[in-house]
Amino acid sequence: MTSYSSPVEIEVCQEVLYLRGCLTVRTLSRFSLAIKDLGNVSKINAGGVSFMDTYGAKFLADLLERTGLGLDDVEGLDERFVELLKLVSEKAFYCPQKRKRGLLYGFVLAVDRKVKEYLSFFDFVGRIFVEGFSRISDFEPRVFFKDIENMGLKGLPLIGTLSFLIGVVIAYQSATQLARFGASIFVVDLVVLSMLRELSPLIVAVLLSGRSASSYTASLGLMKVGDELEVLEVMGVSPYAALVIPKVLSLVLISPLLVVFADGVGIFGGMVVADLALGVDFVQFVKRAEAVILPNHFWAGVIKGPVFGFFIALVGAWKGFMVEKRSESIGFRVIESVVSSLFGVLVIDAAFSVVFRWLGI
Amino acid sequence: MAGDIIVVENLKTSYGERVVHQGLNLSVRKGEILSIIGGSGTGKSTLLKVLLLLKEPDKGKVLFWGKDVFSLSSRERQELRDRMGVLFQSAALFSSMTVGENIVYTIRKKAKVSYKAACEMAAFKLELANLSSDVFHMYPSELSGGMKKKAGLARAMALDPEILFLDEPTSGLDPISADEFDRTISKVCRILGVTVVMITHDLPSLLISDRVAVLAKGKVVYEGEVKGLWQVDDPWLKKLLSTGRGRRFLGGVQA
Ligand SMILES: Nc1ncnc2c1ncn2[C@@H]1O[C@H](COP(=O)(O)OP(=O)(O)O)[C@@H](O)[C@H]1O
Ligand SMILES: [Mg+2]
Repeated sequence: MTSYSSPVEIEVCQEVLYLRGCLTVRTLSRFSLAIKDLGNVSKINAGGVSFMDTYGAKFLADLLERTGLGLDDVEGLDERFVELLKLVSEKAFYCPQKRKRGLLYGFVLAVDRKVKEYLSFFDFVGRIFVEGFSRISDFEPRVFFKDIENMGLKGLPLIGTLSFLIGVVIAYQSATQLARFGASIFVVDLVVLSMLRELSPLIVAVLLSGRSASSYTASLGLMKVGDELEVLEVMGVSPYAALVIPKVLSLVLISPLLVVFADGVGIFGGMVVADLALGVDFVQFVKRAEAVILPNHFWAGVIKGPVFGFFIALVGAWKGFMVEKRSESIGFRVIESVVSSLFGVLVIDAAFSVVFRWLGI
Repeated sequence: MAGDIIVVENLKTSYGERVVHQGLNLSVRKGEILSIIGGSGTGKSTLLKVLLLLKEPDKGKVLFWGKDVFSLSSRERQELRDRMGVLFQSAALFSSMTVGENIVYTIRKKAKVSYKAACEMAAFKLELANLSSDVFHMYPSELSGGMKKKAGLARAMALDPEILFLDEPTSGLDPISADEFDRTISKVCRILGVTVVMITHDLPSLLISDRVAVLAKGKVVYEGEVKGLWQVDDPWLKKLLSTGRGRRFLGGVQA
């Protein structure tokens, strides 16, 4: 133990460099700083070296190179350290340079990669339809039911709370304005139409993006990293049929139900506020609602559900398949999957508005 | 004994209800290569976790250089760990860094050296582990299993540890690479005076060991020279030595 803490001394005396102490990675800063001007050295006496590791040996080898001496000019060095010194001096400390690329080249490469990544979405969807459906016997019902439970049932409390609050907020925000014009009853139109047509599907989509797309990406990504997908492939089981289709199907099936649930709870939230803040009681509310709601309004919202669900599940699974074997890759792909699915949902929603307007729904 | 740097006394470890070790004793001498063998699930990796201070035992003592490690402060524990190097069973390279960065990061965490010097040292360690410098800028996911093991060894040796723990270093390597790996370990460790504790399934690896410990039923049932192995009365060991590989290996030991 004592040898590990003995101080390092470097001293030049009559062209002989005396090296003493313990030359290890722990004492490295002390001895590498100690050498500055050596003057003329024709021999190195290392008799006082009590211990040496590869860092110390490298230091000594560098010292030899600097002073233009050879291994024979070292005297007094312990037998086993001589062997180490030989090992260190015969190996090249060659550290290959990273290939440097021009800025423009790097940019083009990055753009190229991104474009290919996005195009691979269509490849992915194609595989689901071609490979997945042709080997549909691999369909895993367990995955399907598990996802119905995790993404549907377990999401209900959150969706309920959110849509209730949104219903409350819309009714409350409009309360003062409507009351001023004596048009309090129109709160029904506002709450019911906005919930049915726009807000419920969006609440559901936001929740599915946050909960399901991220979860799909992470779980499939982990399977990809652990070569589990390859094992399935080798077993002759299509990962698309066994994993992706159940996941997509479960979201497609539960999302319209979730939209209906959000409709109900959201309108109820509006009803409560209408009663308390605007004096429109439940009976009046329902009567007015019956007059306002056309089946079209209801279906316009509900039909968005499966489209959003389909898209969100696809993005989640697709990003999961893109995970690479690096620790940060999974986190990065999860972010991408949430952001892309949300972004996509908004774009699809805009398209719906245009189409509905066109069709006069 | 005075030359023992690790002593494990009457160790008991468990995962919840499941007892892994019960009354385990082991000692490691300075500068030796000690192999630990035993069937799958006999708690070899768990023993390693205890020695790396990653898992607290239920009972018993672990002494490093005569000091009871589980009574040390966290700073003293870290100082102790700084003197150890480890290669885990799965190599456990940081997947977000290149192989070179893995080693450079390890070096620069503890040693006060410039980035360039650390790179050179990393390249040297890779060469010691028999890897070409091409892998320096490659990510672990781009390497084969055996190359990962070698890179893991290079990282474990990055700071010239006094004790090196290796968990199945040669599993997943072809026999030639495994032999090479064994030779590298024995050569480098003898030159550097490193003490090696090596878990292995690979009988030929025993040829580079000074001593061997056999784990069975939660205990060390044999600890001593490799030659003494076939006098041990343990059903698993008897079976192991009677396999084709076992017989060939015995021939090698006796020769
Ligand atoms: N994290 C854990 N939780 C519970 N049990 C474990 C855990 N790790 C290992 N075990 C159990 O402890 C025993 C010893 O495992 P391990 O030390 O990995 O065996 P070996 O490396 O010898 O093959 C096994 O029976 C295993 O099931
Ligand atoms: Mg193990």
